[in-house]
Amino acid sequence: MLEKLKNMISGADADYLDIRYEVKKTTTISMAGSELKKAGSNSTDGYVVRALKDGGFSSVTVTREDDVPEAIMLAVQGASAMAGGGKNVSLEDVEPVQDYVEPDLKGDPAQVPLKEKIVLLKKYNDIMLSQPDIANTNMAYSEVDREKFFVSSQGTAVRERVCTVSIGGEVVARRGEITQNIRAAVGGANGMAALMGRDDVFLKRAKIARELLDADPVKGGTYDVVINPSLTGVFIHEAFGHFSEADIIEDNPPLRKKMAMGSKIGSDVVTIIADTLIPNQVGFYKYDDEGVPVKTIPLMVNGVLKGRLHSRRTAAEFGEPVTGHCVAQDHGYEPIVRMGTIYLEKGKMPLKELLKQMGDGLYLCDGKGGQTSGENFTFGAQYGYLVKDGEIQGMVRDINIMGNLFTTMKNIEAMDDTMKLSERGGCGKGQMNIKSGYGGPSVLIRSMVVGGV
Amino acid sequence: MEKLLKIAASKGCRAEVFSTREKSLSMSKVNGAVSDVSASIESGVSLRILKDGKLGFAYTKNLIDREELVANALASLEAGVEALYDFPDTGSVSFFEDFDESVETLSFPELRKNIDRIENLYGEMKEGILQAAAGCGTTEIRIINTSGADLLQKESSVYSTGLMIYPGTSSGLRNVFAGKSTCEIFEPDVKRTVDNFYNSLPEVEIGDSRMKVLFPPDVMYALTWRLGVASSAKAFYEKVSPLLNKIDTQVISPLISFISDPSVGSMGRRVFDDEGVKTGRVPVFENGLFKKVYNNLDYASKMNTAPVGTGFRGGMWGGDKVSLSPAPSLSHATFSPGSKSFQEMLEMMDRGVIVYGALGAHSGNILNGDLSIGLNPGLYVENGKVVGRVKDAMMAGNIYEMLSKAIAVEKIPHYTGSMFDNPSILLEDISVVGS
Repeated sequence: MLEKLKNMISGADADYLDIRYEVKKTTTISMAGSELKKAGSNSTDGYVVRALKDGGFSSVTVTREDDVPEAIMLAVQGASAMAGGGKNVSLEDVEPVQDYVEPDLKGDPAQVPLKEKIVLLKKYNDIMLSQPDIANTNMAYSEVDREKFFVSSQGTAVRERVCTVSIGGEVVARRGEITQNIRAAVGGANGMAALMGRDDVFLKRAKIARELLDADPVKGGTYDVVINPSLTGVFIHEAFGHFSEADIIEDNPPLRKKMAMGSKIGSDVVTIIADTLIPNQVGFYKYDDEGVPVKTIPLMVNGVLKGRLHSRRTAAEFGEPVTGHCVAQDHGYEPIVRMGTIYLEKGKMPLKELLKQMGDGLYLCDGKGGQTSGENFTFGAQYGYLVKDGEIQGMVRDINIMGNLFTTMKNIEAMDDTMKLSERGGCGKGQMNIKSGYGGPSVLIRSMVVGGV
Repeated sequence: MEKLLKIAASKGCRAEVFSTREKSLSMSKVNGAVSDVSASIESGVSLRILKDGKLGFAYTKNLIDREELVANALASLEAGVEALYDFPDTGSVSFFEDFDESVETLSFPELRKNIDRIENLYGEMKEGILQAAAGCGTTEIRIINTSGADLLQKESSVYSTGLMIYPGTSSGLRNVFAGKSTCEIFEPDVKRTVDNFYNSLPEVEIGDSRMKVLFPPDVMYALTWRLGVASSAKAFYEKVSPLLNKIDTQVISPLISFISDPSVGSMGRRVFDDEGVKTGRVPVFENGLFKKVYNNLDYASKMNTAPVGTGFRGGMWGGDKVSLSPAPSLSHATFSPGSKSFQEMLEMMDRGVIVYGALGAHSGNILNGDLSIGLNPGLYVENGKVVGRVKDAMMAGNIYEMLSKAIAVEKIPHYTGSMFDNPSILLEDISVVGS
């Protein structure tokens, strides 16, 4: 395939050209309550062509091989249209590489029959449905197996397979007029092993959903909060991680100035690392979708900005090193700058001491999605507890938090001594990235705006 | 497509073939410099088969091996997904009213002219950043099934957008203009955006209080998402909807009607849904009364009701139509226009916020109707005038309570891309929490 791709792009009238062909095999099984709603495996494929010409840069996606010549023509035309009136694009130099990467899977999902996967999903689903007050579930087994072939006109030829599996969804509890739901998920990028023997996870989630029926809505206001590792992951991803993606701040001079290397952004206790090479994590890959080997990047050390995530284009624009973080959802998308695995480093005290240090406030647990826009962000917590004098009190629900990056990072006061990374990713920055892993310890943050209901 | 249908039928199956072909070009500029140029030519085929009350499903992007696709669908059938419906015989329909073939020949230089026009209208930015974009595309959807339906719809679109971004942020105020052949720009909308932008440059700390909140069409998805989840046949079948047993009950303000009719609208019309069912008017809420549960073929059969033409492929985030199964969807539903102009609604606000960006609308207990969003941007209004934008503020509530407090609905709907044609809605006594 790599040879075929080389032939496809040879002779094109461009300063640089690359092509990515990808075969994406997916297996999806979904259940609504006790009913099987969907089950099957499918395979799709497609091509992404990118061209650089006279400082213009353009990309085209096509699904049919017959359309590749038109894609190359359109990409060159697009680059020409951008040249002389647009940004003067260049790509940071990289050493050409030739490599073939297979994932280290503990139980290759491709070798497991569909029926066995259905049995596993039903087992976890039944565990939750059998609990009191559980009215419904919406659960799915998801397997995404991508085989990517990348060739550039500069001599890079890389083939890499990445395989991601998960079982997850929501469990709904209902009593009278009150309905509450909570998310449940297990998964990873190291094969079926991540999904086996996880009964306790689903049992616990059903129990929390039930407890939420008796929880009070949180009252809106400004609180000191301790967020648990799952929520820390979402917080770091939303509040800071997106700002470390060079393309987010590229066209915004004031933000670029605020995010200059060496700037003191966070409090002294904050160290944040982007490490996509942690084995077995959901974010793991070796080469990005520009054929660049991914590197581990300290983004912030003791509150000081030390690194940034880049594509070849943004690295050249910022005059900073390439990092291998230019990733596409699949063959239907051009690659953009994305996080792989990102985490906040842990501290030294136990959780109990952290809560004591907070005094009064909220202990918030498990992420329910987040969003960022400029320096502002929100993220939701699936449940939480009131805390008085460091002691956990009653459960609260309906928790959404908003903050400003620069204020909040300085309000981080301490972390506990735990560390947990997410098992499932999912970030929608124009395109979905199921390989956005994140995590950290429990974290004490002062003065957060909580919306309530 | 016909060959594929025949192969599936030869295996003793009822079958449906759904296919798409899309071509699009896009270009964007940031403060006068072209920043992004891209194109896409995508196709795909999805096959559903029914046999002995079970469903099989398979799809591909490249239909090279028809036998393999049918084999995948048959393997899926083995899993035992129950399906007690048949595909509809909607006859033969070819709908090209929203298609202009000249759009297929548009190229990047034409897009650049459209962007230049947008930039001229917004004028030079005194502060902040102007992002202008233009694009065009054509879409073809065809559905054939063993019941006899042969449905073809072609659509074209040309669009331009302008986004004025506040200094030092990524949030701003936006306009979207679109048409099937050319992009008509409604200049008063641009003027309102420009005026609001410059009037709202100062950041205001508002503390915690209850006030009027105006939802413009741009963020209506935060409300329609929750109404849609609760009024879906899926939520009723699973008995988890907060609207259970509330048909013909006054649930929200009489000022509010929420209607799905994919066959009408300025853009994105559909005369059949993604299962081949004829579309039409589905009044979900009419004058505040909850009137109708919407469905797809699957849930219509489960609940022993007729399908209403709201079975679409794609979730809240869009998604690949070919790989997704049809589900009950209010993707084309809009609020009905009211009686006030935007200016009149603004003058009704002694103190309040206009929500031009809803950060985190996907969080929270959506099924229950709970809404807790960051106002980003939220324009602060005093005595009918925009005087700033709120700093680090959220608004929160339950949409059924919130929509019971509607006091005005705009008389002119506005096209905003994925949200189609919606008016602005003004609510009173809403909780806003600020720094």
